[in-house]
Amino acid sequence: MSGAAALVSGLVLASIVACGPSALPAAESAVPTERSRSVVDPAHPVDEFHPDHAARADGTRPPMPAPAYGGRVILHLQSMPRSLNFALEGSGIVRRIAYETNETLLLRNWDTLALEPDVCTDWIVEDQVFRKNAKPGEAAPFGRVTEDGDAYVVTPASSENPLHAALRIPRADVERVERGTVFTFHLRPDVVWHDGHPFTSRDVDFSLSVYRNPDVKCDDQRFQFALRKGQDGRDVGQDVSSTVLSPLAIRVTYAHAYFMAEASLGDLFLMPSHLYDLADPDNLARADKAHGDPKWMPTSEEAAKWVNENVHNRLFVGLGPYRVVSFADDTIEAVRFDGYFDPARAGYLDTIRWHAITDIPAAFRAFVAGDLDFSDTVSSDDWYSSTAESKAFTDRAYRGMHETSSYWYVGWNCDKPALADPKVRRALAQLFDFDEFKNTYYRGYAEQITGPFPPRSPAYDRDVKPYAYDPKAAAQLLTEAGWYDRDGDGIVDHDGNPLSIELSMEAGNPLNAAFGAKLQEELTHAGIQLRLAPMEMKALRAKINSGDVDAFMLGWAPPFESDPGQVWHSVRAGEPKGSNFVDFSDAQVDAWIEKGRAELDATKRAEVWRSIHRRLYELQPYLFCFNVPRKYVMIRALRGFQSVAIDPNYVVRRWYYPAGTPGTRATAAIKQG
Amino acid sequence: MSYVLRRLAWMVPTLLGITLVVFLAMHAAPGDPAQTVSADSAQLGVDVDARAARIRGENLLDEPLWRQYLHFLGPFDLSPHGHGWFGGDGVHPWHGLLALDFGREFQRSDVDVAHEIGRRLWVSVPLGAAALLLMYLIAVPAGVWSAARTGTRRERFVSLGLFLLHAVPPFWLALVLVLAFGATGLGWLPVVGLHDKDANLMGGYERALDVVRHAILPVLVLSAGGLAYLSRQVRGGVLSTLGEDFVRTARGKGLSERDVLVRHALRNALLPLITLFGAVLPALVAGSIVVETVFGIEGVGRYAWEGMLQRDTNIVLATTVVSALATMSGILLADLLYAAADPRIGHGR
Repeated sequence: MSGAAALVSGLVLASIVACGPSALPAAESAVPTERSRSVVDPAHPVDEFHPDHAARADGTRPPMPAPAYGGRVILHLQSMPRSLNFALEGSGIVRRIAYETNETLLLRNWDTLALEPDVCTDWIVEDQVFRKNAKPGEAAPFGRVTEDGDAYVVTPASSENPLHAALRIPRADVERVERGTVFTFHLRPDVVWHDGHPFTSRDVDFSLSVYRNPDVKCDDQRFQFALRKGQDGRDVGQDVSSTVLSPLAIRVTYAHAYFMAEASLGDLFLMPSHLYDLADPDNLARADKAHGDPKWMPTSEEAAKWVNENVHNRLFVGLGPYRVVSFADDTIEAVRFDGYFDPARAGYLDTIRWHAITDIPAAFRAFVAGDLDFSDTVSSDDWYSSTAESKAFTDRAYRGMHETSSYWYVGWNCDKPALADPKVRRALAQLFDFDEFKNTYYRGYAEQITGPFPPRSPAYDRDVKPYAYDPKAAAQLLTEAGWYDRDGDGIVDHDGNPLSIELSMEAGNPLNAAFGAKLQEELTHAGIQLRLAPMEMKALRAKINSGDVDAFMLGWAPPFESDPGQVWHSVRAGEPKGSNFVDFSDAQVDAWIEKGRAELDATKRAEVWRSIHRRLYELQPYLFCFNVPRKYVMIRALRGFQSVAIDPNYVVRRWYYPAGTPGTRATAAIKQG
Repeated sequence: MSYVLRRLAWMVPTLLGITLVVFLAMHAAPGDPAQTVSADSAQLGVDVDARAARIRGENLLDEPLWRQYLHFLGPFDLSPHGHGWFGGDGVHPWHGLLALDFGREFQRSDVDVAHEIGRRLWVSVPLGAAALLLMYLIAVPAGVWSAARTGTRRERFVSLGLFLLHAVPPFWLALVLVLAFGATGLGWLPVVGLHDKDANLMGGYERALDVVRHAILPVLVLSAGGLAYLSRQVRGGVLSTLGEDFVRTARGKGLSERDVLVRHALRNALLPLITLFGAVLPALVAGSIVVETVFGIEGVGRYAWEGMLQRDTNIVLATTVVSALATMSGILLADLLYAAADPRIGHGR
């Protein structure tokens, strides 16, 4: 199933978002300036951009006001979802709402970024040992597998493991060991759905089974927990089964090791079985369907139809601190759920409303008019506009930026003779003054990146420092690579060919135009010809896929962790529709990718990914450029905003109105009541 | 009746021609719709290939263009789940214009496009009707007033204002009104959506008033262009009628100038206004795209715009059909009303 990992297309190919200041006002006074101009600080302070929390001269910030419970926030959505069931509608918008209205088995800690129990108390990971000549249907023994001489020792780790003592299996009898493929989750006993029904392992079991039903409309996500036929007829995805051990314990088994299994399973979208599963005796709809037959079971089609068309897909009954109470044409509203199991993680606000406004400028106007309290889909034009700098605006609201994982780059086609030598590519990196571009184009609000992973993820090696802008050193590198001006025409050449590069880019993007012009200027001084080739995105993609391209500008929006093999493994080089656009091939990187895929320990795996990061920066298949923050606007009355590394990059549950705000109540009142 | 039938019959090739042009234009535009939609969700770990394949399969995007167009026309569904006659499994045999089934959105795959348009028509039609009503309510008196005072300085000034209004692009006018009357200006009127954020707490009367307040600026912008055009037509009609013998007779009978203008000149000048109904309607439909976008209104015009941005052929073709039908029906209705109003006019009899 090695190909299945590659199927997880976690990266978003993005046309570069123009966060351009081409029309920006000169004055910077109203732009937040208190931070270090780096958007990927180790930790972002709370209310980093809030005017009442600006850093003093000594670097300290005023204390945060005490929080109160209550109040409402209206958040902007860029489009209205059709359903709130993430299994059926796997969009970022549904995911964002589900953060507040539902829970998952595991949760990535917003601060430490580590996976932690959410609706479970703990989880145990075990390995499977597949024996040669096993009888058909015979279960593979599982436990913590260690090697001891000429045998494997399987030691049960979970209390539900049918092995009661360590089992010794001679190596000669073992076909294979699948590490980290058995997960036993122990669920919290105090978790209830929004309708009061207890949350049990049956819910988890059913939530997994949904993906195995071919009639449920979850094709886009089926591969995570079930197999499907790929375009070439081969099975793709994960072969996952589950067993209910008790109302509060469930075992999930992967047929093959998968380094993303833990994170993927931990993120499973949980659905209430008593509302979605017609086989569940607690499902009131079952009585209507069964017509008094206690043995009645739905067919696959009936079960799928009940999921696909379930009324709760809109008014979703979840486990989160907020309960969905309305789903209208353009708004969704959720209110505080008093039965939420973890008061420490419940939000402060009483009501969260999401308001869909598809037009970005219209959403900004709605914010200005007071119809929205927060929006992070703000155009640069609006963010830097005189409206946003007016007193009426700043009295009520403020502007900030939060981090994202996306970045943009210039890809060098490593198959082109002129660009095949890493020394040439490194010279190109040293010929561009990134600091100047950052300070002029981005006003300092961007981070020069050095690798392909999200800058705040453990896979990103922050010790890798960008090459300094050094035209002399670049000239030396070019000379070492055989490129220097032999005929005195001002252009460096090699084997009679001038060093000439065509940079393809999407037309109509001010960032592309500005960067291209600046790079052209810098390279011309170094005796390198750079031709700019703006074109439509479709044409650009076709050109890149054809392989007939020297260099191109594109962007990626990588998830917190993904398989780097999609983009950097040599087997992907030359694929017409693959993601290794630059035809990069390096045996060392290949080896690390294989090693990382086989490493189930997240910390050790991150070390491997960091090795890839270092190697890629050294070899420079990309001119890694900038990670640019996302602009937002927020009302001043709301406090507690903090940029985090995990999508959607902020935590609404931490937002609050200060104590004393009309319509709020003291936090103690909630604790007592 | 035969005239009506002939006109209705002519609407068929006209509609086909319109849809064919739009269909070809959509396919000539750069960008891959399936990839565009899929990439939006890729960060969430969805299977981009599966999603793109689904979009392609359901919408026949890999099929020849003629087959895609036939699929759009219907009534047979030519997809793998379509009619058995065309190799489908028969689960969903009917599709297309003739079956009034425009398929589902690419982005939100369980949203039925026809149903969504139906929902949005409840927003766009009242807005358009209000704009049309406002247009006629202002244009007729303004035209008569201009005709009665033709050549005066005030009339020239008003005419200049109307010409300017006619020349101003709707999006510019909308943005100026937003700046002037929205929260950044006088703050008198809401500028986004059709209801207040707390409309659910309002009573019936208050709620209706809230909708009216939200609709004022959109309706003004929608009616602005046509208003100038119509008033000039009324003015011209009244002026030409004022030179007719029966008007002189009326004056000779000693009728007041007001009675001459309103009861004789205007009544006869109004007839051409009926035909202008057919000319104003397309402008209203086109204007709704701009107005609904600027004012954040979830109407059919905005839906068409979103469809274009998403390269969603189903949305674009469906909204094109709706607007084309509205326009052609408006023109037909105008012709019929004209014939009914003036018995001298025949229709090829």
